Amino acid sequence: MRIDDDLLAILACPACRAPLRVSGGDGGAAPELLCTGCLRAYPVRDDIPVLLVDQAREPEPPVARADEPPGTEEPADGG
Amino acid sequence: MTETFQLNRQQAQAYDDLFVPALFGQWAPQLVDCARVREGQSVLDVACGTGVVARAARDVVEAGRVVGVDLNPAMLEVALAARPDLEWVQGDAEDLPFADAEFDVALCQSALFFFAHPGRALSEMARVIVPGGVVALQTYAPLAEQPAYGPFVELVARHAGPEARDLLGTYWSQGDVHGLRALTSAAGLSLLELRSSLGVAVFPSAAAVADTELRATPIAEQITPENYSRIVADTEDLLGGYADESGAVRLPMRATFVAAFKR
Repeated sequence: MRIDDDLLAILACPACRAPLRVSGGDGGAAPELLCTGCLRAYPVRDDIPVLLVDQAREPEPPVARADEPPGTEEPADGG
Repeated sequence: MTETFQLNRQQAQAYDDLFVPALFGQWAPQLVDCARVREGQSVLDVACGTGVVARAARDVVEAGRVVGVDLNPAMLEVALAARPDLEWVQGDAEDLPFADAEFDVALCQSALFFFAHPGRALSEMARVIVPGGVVALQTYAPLAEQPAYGPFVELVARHAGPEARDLLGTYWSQGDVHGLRALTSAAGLSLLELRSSLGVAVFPSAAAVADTELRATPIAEQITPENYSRIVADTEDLLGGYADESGAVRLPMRATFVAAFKR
């Protein structure tokens, strides 16, 4: 994948306008552009960033801790 | 989300090979000129398709940045294959995936009438340009000002019913000068220039005009084969006078340009 740093610098998340950063791509995982604000992950297909909200991977919900019964964890938004 | 027709790679290549030279290519240098694009500037081509405007902008800005954004991945594949030296991004004109004030100029050719919310697209173009930057649009004049397409659409409406005016009306729906001025004003932009230009749309024959336009809409499937044949025959009568020696028809087509700047 070729995402030029100069291009990355002017891109923004179409959902929240926060900057994006490159995630993955050097291991087995497909590279994505990860929003530093809302954490949506945007694919890069054939060297073209796909910056469409309806094609983004939504952030994974926080995993409940195994040592706590469901329903007792702190609110995830932190106020 | 902007409405769009999706194309495959082959259709996008055919668009670039046939429709760009026959219809759209002629407006690109005029749009770049209307926006007063200068060497060294950074330019965004919104709803770039295969990038005809981006390519024209590159000729002027030279080392400046040129980025094309479009909803359709097949169009962008063709654009990237043709011009890997320019930058291409898949995105929606109504939610541009760029930070504020990153471009000197935003250009949008032959696309405003496809957007569900043209005002929102204008606001987005205004957002991504710098203060002092320019947004320039090219649309087509309303049917009443189209010397060939106006009578053609009326001909189709006589045979296929008045709803044909709406089905064939998309291209001409954003060409009203007052409407364009209102859109740019609402986006906080100040008028730089309005321009009306008569160009030409080239088709292999008058029958091909009818065939192309009817098949681009549901009309072709709604009418009987007899009715279809009558429309083709009447179109040959109506537009035959525009044919050259080879039989190709060269239809006059009026475009509207508006350029506006951000204070």
